[in-house]
Amino acid sequence: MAYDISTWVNLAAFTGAGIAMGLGAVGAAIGEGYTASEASVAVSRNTKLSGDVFKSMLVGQAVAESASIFALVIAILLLFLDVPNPTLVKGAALFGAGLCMGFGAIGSGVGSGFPGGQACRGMVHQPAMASRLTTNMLIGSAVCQTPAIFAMVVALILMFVDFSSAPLQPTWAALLGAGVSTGLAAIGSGIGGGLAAGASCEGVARSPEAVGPVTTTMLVGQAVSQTPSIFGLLISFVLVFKTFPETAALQTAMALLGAGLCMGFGGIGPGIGNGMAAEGAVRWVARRVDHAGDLMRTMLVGQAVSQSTAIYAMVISLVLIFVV
Amino acid sequence: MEAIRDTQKRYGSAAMALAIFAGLFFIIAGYKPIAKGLILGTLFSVLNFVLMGETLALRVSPSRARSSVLSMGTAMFRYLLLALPLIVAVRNDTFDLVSTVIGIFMIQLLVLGDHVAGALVSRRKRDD
Amino acid sequence: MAIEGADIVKAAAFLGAGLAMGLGAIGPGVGEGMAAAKTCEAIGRNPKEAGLLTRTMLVGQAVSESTGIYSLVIALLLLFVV
Repeated sequence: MAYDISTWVNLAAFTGAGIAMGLGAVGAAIGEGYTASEASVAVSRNTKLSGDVFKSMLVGQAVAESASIFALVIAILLLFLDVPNPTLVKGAALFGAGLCMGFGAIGSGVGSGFPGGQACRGMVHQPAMASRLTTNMLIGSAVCQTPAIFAMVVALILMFVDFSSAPLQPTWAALLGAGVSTGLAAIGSGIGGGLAAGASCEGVARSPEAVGPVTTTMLVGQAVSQTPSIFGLLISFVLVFKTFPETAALQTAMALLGAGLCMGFGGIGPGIGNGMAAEGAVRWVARRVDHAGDLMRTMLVGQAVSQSTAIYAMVISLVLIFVV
Repeated sequence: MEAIRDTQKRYGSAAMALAIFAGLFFIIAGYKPIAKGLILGTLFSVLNFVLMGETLALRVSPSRARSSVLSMGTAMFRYLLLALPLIVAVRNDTFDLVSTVIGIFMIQLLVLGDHVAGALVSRRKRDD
Repeated sequence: MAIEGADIVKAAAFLGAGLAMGLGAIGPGVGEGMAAAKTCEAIGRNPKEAGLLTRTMLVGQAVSESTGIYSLVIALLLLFVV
């Protein structure tokens, strides 16, 4: 029994939708679970403040959930949008879109749980700072959503760009690689940004007078943590928009798929590492505001070194795309 | 739980009011599908926010694993609800898809706008 | 065109190069971040030694980086030598 092309394209789209929604919901659930358990600890310490804690937890979760709602939107589009002229390349693109959004939502979901949890915990220590803690938490988790937004952009590009004139070999591998590159790299940046944001909520609660330097250090640290996912986005764009000549050789396809995997996995470590460096710096800026400059400099040096591994991965990806 | 109700009322009514005003503006300007999509999306966004608040106390438990599993369950249920306006907008040309998606994020946009604008204003005050 | 053995070897080498560099970057990335976080902690506790601590961090990170460089070398070998 032979299946026609539109069956394969639908199968790819449905599988992609399932992956996007499943992974997206798992990330959000881990993050929300962290926030909820911290909130429970906080409330049990001081029941009188439960109103403030729950209020901040509610708005925090509303923002933290955006990443998984992005995944929901992509999944619904994959399931219900008609594909005008189905080709096997389009099928690969739709599957890649699902992978990209699913992986991309994990990091943001998990990451934005950290500021939520630390804000709830901090509120009990420092009830007077409740509103400022909520603001810091929201800014922090909003920045955590950027990798998921990158993933959504790539997923939408994969879904709506017309690939009908592209040759099946090796374009299918390039499109899958494009999805995996941004999706996996977003995991690290999302978690890393969350670590920095969590430390800032902890810091504001510990020393309210350091709000300004703590927030600045957090934003700088988070911005650097986002760079691996920007590298991932760059590689995805190259893979999507470069036209590859038709070739039956397996090696070209594997080189393009390998480029996506290389940048994707390679972005995870530096993303988390940059976030850890930012977490340490933010935490200690709160305790020693007078040395904020030294700490910020050390954080940036450390992050630059950690970043270099992401740059190696990007170099190898570019070699795989352009040289081989 | 009074605090949760207050927050829900505040952002929920603000989101609906904003969507209806923007919708009226779009209807007057002649873009009826955009207005309908925006209002539909916002309605479900508010509904999702209300349900999130109602299930909040249920999900709070000292065990992280238990919280995560409960969050996953309630989130899946809420996403089934959120999928409805999207499916309607994809299938039905009288609802604009993009404005429905924007409507679904109305609560998030309002929460962020409220707090970030507040932070910017307080910083400016401190500088003066 | 029939796919020959040499073709499969080349294809596997390219995929392997990508995976080697990609997975190999996770460890040093996280490890260097940890080193930087701990250095920030130490500078917070003892700000006078900031210079010494930063130097120590860089030495530690350089050693951690070497695993990333091994991955890079292996990836380049797989790309150009195999």
